[in-house]
Amino acid sequence: MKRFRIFDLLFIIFLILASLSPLIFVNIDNRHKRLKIIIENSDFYFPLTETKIINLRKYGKEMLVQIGNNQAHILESDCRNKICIRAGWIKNCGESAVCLPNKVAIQIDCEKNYIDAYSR
Amino acid sequence: MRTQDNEKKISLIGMLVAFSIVAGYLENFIPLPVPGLKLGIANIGIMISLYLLDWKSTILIAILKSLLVPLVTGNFIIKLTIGLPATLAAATFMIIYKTLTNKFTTATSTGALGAFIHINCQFVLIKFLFIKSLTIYKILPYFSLFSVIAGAITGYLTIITTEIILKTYNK
Amino acid sequence: MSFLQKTAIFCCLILVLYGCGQRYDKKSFYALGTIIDITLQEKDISYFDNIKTLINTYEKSITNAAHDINTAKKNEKVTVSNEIVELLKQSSYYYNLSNGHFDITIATITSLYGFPEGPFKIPNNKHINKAKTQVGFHNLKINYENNTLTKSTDILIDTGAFSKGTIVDKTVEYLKSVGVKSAIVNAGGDLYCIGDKNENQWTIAIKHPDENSNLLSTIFIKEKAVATSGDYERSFEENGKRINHIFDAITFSTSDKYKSMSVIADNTETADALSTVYYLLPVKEIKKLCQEMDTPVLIYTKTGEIIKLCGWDLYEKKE
Repeated sequence: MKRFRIFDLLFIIFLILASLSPLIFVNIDNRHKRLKIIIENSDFYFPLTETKIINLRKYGKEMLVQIGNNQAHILESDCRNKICIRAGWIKNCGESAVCLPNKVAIQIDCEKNYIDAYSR
Repeated sequence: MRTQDNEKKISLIGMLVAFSIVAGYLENFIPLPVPGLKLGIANIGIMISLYLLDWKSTILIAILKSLLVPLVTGNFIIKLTIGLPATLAAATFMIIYKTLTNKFTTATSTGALGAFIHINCQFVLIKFLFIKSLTIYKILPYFSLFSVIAGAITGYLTIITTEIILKTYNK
Repeated sequence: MSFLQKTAIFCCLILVLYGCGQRYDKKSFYALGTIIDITLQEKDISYFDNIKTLINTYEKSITNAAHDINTAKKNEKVTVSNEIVELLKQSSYYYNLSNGHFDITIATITSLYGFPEGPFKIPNNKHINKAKTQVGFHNLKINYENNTLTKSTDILIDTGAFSKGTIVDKTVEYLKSVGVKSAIVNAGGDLYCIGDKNENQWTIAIKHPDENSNLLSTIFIKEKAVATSGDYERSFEENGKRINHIFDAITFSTSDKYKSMSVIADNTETADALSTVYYLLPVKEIKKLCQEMDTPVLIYTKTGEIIKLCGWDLYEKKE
């Protein structure tokens, strides 16, 4: 009785790929995500793949935004209630954290998103 | 002659179920890094039936294994709700796969397929019935990978075991 | 040509035709206390600056008018612009429609709590009781002839409930007047979809208030407005109770039946206003009212129940 044939190997490789496919898709998904920072009347984009802290002082705002691990959050802000900091890390398409007094918001922007707009 | 064959069939089924129960109990003692993960040695019983008997016996053994092993190992209700459908689905897919590809594959890939179907079914059922959050899906790729390899080994062991059975049987 | 070559050319043609649809760009800025997202076709992108100016201008005019009205003394005559009079007319309409539950003068009480922007606190009962005697839309005597109004008590108004919707509608009006056929104007969740998206409907998702990565519902619309009122933005917790900015003018307290209320309507002002009006009413009344107003509704209750009324589920199906 034959114990192992070529088609066995091909099929097992197929099953392994099928098992790992979500990981591949998540990586492709992540590459299309960007961080959008809205400061009053302008918006700026930053890639989510880097790990860094963005100082908004050069835009006139005393705030720090931290990016890492395909996520982002407002690290520091000079506003009174710190609601924006308590919003925590954001990482899904359309998620946002807003600082009302400073008129600054950070949002995860997805290019190939099939949702055209969110209502919340 | 038919009753003799039938008796042999029934006794083989009985032995395979008994083997499944014992193996199902003993494999709980094999230490693995992740709790709840099992090597699937007990599934050899189902796979032997797949290659030596007909599909009805295979389904029967799959059902009996799913009912009796949890009785012995505990957590009956949970293992039944998740294990029974998953094992049945795996057995069904293996039957179809073997029927379609028997001429050019061996039990090695059949076992891999059965294990793949089994683990993915379990995850879907757990998400549907117990855990609402999507985070458990993050570990599924790794569990699935492990299952495919373990399933291939199970299939391989099935081939060796059936060879031995046929050799001793034909003596 | 071989079959393979024909198939390859066919596939290329399909891809080219598919890609030929107009590309869209989304630009954002901060106004009206929230993020404004404008989705425009590439050829219309130049209108973005005008939109910013338009919205900022309207915001200023409404804020100034509200400030004038709020700082005016009792019985002092205040002159207001046509737009503000329109806004007040609408406020009166929704006040009557909701039998007094929806009332822009409730700001007299919500301001004591610190709304809209904080700092938030629970005011003492003396202040609340005094405010209760002053609240009431009927205390705003509006003269529609010469655009003036007088307050008969020391009330404050807040047009936040539907001014976002009104501004979105004005922006849509502008875009249509310059020939824009396809766009979305989204002011912090109150949005309008102009036309269709490359012959298809627009895909709009209603976010789940509790689970950040999940959606309550996905709908397909064109030439319609959607607005959502919720209890999670502009709220604070005290003694374990969540106090949000939507107050009922009859009970003088925060409404706590629902976590989220979404409405589809023909214009954004209606959708925005109704989402607040419905938020203040029990489900039975919403059922009646949404039929009268012909507006589909999506309710997410405090207990996690999802209720779809007046044809909301029809919009969840693609054409």
